Amino acid sequence: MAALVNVPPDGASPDESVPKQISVSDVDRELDRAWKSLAAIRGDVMALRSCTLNVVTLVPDARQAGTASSAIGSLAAVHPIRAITVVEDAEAPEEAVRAWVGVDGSKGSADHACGAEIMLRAHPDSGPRALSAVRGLLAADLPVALWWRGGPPLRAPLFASMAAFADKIIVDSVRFGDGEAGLDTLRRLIEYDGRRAAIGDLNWERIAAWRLSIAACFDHADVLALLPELDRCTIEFATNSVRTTPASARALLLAGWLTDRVPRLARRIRLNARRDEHPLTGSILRVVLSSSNSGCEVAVSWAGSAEDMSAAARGPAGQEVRSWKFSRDTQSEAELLHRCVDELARDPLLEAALT
Amino acid sequence: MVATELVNPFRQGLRVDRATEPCQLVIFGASGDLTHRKLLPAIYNLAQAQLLPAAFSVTGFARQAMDDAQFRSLLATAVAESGEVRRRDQQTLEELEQRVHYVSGDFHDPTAYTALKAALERSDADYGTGGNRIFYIATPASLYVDIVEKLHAAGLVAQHGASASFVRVVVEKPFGRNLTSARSLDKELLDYLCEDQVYRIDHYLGKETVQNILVFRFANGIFEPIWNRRYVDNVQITVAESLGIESRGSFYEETGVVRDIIQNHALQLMSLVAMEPPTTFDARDFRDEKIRVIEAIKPLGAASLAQSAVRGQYGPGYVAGESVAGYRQEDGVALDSITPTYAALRFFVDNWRWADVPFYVRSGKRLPKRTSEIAIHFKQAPHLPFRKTQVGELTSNVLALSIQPNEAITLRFGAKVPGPSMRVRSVAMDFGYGAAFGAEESSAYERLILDCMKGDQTLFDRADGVEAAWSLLDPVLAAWDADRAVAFPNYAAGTWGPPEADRLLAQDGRQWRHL
Repeated sequence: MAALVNVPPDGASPDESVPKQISVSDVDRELDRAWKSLAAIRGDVMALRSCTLNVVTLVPDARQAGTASSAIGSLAAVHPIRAITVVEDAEAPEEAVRAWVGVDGSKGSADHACGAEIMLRAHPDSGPRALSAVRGLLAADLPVALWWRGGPPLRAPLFASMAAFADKIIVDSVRFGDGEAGLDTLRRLIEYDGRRAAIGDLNWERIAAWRLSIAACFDHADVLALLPELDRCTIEFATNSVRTTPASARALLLAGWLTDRVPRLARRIRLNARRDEHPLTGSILRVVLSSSNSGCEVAVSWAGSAEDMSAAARGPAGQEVRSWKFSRDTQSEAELLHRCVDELARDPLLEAALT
Repeated sequence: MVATELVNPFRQGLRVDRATEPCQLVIFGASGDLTHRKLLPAIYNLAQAQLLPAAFSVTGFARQAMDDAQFRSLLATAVAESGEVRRRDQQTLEELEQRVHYVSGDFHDPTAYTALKAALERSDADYGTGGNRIFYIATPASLYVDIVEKLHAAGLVAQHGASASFVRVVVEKPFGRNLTSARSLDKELLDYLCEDQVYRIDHYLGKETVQNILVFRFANGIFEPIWNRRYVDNVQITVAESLGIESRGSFYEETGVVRDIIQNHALQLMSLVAMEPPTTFDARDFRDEKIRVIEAIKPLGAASLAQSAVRGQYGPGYVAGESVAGYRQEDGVALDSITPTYAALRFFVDNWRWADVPFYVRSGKRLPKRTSEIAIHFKQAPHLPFRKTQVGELTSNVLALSIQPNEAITLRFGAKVPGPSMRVRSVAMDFGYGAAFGAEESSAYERLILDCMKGDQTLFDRADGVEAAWSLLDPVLAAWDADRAVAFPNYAAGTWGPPEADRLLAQDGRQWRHL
């Protein structure tokens, strides 16, 4: 099997690398050479390098290889990983998996050795070849996170073969279609292969700020005292459709979480679509927990864009008990990916929110 | 009927155990060195990491005349100059600047506190901070009580429970200069505050690598079984500084190495290494176990002092190729000063786990390099089965936990030298903390300020812990103060301390680890 490997010639910086063709089985040797070259250039202790995780990324659309690589590069800046990105490319020859490799010690802070990045470009029909290449390139005795960066994966042969060695499978359920359909695929993924691997979902991480903000409201004893009164909930989400909109997956996930946390809210959560100019359809705009018997209410709102989230709690007579502002976190794909990789264990909150 | 305590169901399972509540951070000594070098960069880093509450403001208070704009400019300079700022981002800086204010006044002047109160109430209204306040007293320790008393008189400090909002007071070491003064300081602070409102900072505990000692010991099954007198021969704790006293001559004359380092940083490290596993890592359990260790250390009585404690003071010498002055030639230092700039002590922890295992602790100024580490020296293998090889050829296994400047864990063990003969040589296996986790770690002050905002006292000293440390060291300080007939200086700058420090270990058949 042939591979194209980018390594810096002796004395050159990695950016000046010249591709040359080698076999995939030589990738490790070439990576080692690249590390030594980098150490020689920097004149420091780059030989001291570590690896904590394998991240295998499957990109079913070759046009998205650059975006995926950028997110992985950002991940490598904070996690010393061995990143293996497999790009399905109909233009690639069936009889070969081509590889580009590089090491990067520049993305972390000073003296921090970061990860090795290997990109394989494989024809969709060369699954077994790609699988064998990936298997041989995995760093030994380290967990494997498999990031599927495509639509519903369950019928994709490449996914099935790679998922077999993954400790955690990371997806973005918004790519499975918004609403119940997307969540249904997510549920089946959780059950996949006897629940062997943990599942991470970027879309679930998108609503982390809502979970944290709601939790923060009830950290305050006076607000927590209102909780027994609160028996219904409204979640508003953005849509830019003029037609009937399916419920946003994010709103459904948040509703699932709220129901899991406070079971009496089951079937008492209403999802309202609100026509909004906000470019991100499906984003949650407001969550109101209220009482059917009194004026008690806890409402968390987001006005969109760079605005902070705000919240207010009201007592039985409608009087304000407390108000807050919460920082809105970043929503970049790289940041969401970081969060999924930070914790490799199952996420019981996500699993409970889906049941 | 038993009343059930309500638990926040939304908090369970989230990665953030508790959110920071809205609050104002008030810094006393806002124009000082600590504020510039540590506090302002830490606050900026927290803002950059979006860890501050959205309702937040900073108010600086100091004697120096300054307005809001000048204090904001001081913030910008501190961020620009600090080596601890990880990512400089103009937008974050500008947003933070909008929430930064300054009040000028004399620490002893009650009217200054009236002005401060008015400013804080304005900030409450402007930022929705709800009357929650953290008073960070970054001034000389002699001002702590006066400041708290004036805050109380101005109605800015109420004891916990007297108000719906919180008031917390952060004080920096030194907490007293001996047991008597520490007790007196605690008593006076606790006239106005409850213990759970007092946050005594020893910034060493905020360091990631110091906390990693706990993870290393208690999250790994393989180390704890050998972490006792059966396998450990001795423990060496070093807190070495290559710097001298800089411009702090008069301060250091009053302090010395025991009060500056041993009483706090070094004993903190020792307690983390020697403590029993706490039941939980909440503030009470964790601090209880730490204090138990200090209380279990065998007192250094007058009879054992000569065999257990060595003091030193540096003379002129060379550090990093530069000629440097001796301690007595530094500004603000008496020509006949007997203030120790170096101390080495041998402690024994009188408990089941550590009986008869010596803990050697040393710290000094103007040593060859800046380094802090804990080295666990294990007992040697009882017998070597290889022919023509002597047990004596092997050094013992050492597990070194480096705190600074390079955060690392190193294991020294014997390995066969390649070749036809059976020769064994010690090799070191390094784990670089930074190399395994590329993420830039947060500074100790960031962690501790954030914990204070959350109301988590786990990494702060408790009054009885401070007092236990003074109880241990008071006899040493008293004996050294009383005995002025000491031949200082007794080590040259740039060396590893006086020869007596080597003899301290040599009498036990051991030697200091070469650093």
